[in-house]
Amino acid sequence: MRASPLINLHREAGAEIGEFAGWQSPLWFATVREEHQAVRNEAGIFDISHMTRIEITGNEAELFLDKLLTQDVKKTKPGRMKYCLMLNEQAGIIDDLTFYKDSEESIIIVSNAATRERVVRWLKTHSEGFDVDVRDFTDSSVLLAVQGPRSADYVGKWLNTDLRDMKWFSGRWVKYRGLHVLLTRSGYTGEDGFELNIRDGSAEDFGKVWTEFMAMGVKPCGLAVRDMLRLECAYPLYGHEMDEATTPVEARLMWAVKMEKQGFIGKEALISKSSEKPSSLLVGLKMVEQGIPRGGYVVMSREEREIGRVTSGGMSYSLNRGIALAKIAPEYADDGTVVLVDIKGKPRKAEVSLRPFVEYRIPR
Amino acid sequence: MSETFEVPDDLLYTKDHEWVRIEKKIGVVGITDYAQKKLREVIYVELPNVNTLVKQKETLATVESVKATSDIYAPLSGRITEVNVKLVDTPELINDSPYEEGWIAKIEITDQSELDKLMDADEYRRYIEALEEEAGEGD
Repeated sequence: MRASPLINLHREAGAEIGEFAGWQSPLWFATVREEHQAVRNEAGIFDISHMTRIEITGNEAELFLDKLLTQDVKKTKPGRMKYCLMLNEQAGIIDDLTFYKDSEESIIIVSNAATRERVVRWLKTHSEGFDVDVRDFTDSSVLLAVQGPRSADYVGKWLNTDLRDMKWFSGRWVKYRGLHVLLTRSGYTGEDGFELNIRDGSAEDFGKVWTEFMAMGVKPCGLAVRDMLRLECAYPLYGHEMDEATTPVEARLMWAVKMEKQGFIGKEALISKSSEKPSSLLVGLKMVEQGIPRGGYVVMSREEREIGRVTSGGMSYSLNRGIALAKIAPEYADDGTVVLVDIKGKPRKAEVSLRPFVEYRIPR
Repeated sequence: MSETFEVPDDLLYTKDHEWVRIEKKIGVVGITDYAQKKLREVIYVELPNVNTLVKQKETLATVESVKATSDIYAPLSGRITEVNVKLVDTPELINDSPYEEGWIAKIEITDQSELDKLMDADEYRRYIEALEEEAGEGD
């Protein structure tokens, strides 16, 4: 199984280690509740080195990615980051990802762990005929995320720089003790935060960075709380809310698709499908009655007729109730509609929510 | 690294790791320190309704943790007179104080003979020791 270069450090710190997408990953260091409080009120640090990092370089980097991604890469300013999708010819989602445009000739993609082979293969296959080079540098780097309302203070202190004016979804390279760090103001928690893409160092170098943040009082956080935090924001997770059989319409991700852009893979299929009614839509569900919805549970109409399935679910410590994302029949997908979730044989009331379960607090 | 588990002398226990404290005609029920340590962080407790009649060994409550979902069985039969509503907002009381603040429900004792089927503290200590040895053999 794969593991972050920091895995031994996490083990020594007493973290519970579990498997995520073929990676040995820290699930929690203390309790999920303490970690949740740290990220919502202060700051926490995550080791998300399982995420795939790919560098696209060459004269035709923009041209190439504009064919494969749903955002306009050419129109994106250097120094900016964007969230978008990679579609197949049928407009199914191969992955959701962010790209950081370092320059016209150098773009860095961060995509999911579970889709690594598929994405790298897709990029390499389609790169034929383009003047580009595709390099997966996941294994020679770490990706850390400092998240929480005080993260600008901590990351600024660490770099001895004022980061308060840095724009959301922008990035810059910083040198730190000989390490090249791509610092972006971004995250997956709904809070302010920074992601540190650190390349070409030793496990020891990477470990020092992690330890320095902990010494400042930033709480180490595992993947269990990361999942709760993203669910509270109603952020989709690849493999749960979307896959290659899901279109951006069904996943409600059309905001990440620039339909006016010329000739990207999946566009034709999206146009022809736009006249069809989607078979399901992704919605949020907030439990009105007791119970914790879990992935795979059946969602029913009030007449107890099956209308869909939960794709991810769990407890929200912010709301102190069960929340979920679910794919349900479009006629029930309006905000406030009352539906039922079959929780181990007990139909329990839940309310459709088309908004994040907690308010985003990212800088604008 | 072997964990230690608190087992108070004055309680009765089940094989499913529930405890009962007899307070006159009422049995106060919760889950043991062993159970909460195995479950880890409790994130949610589903409580029964007051006045419900439960039978011994029937599901009384459900406890969900970061590791698992577990049904909690009634250690004795009777009417539920009270439930610990604090667990709705602070389910972690089961971890912090399994024998005091983390109690789950109170049941009116109807059949004294049911208590004979439960273990005393010494029996329960031997029972969890045996479970731990069994679990350790795989290492």
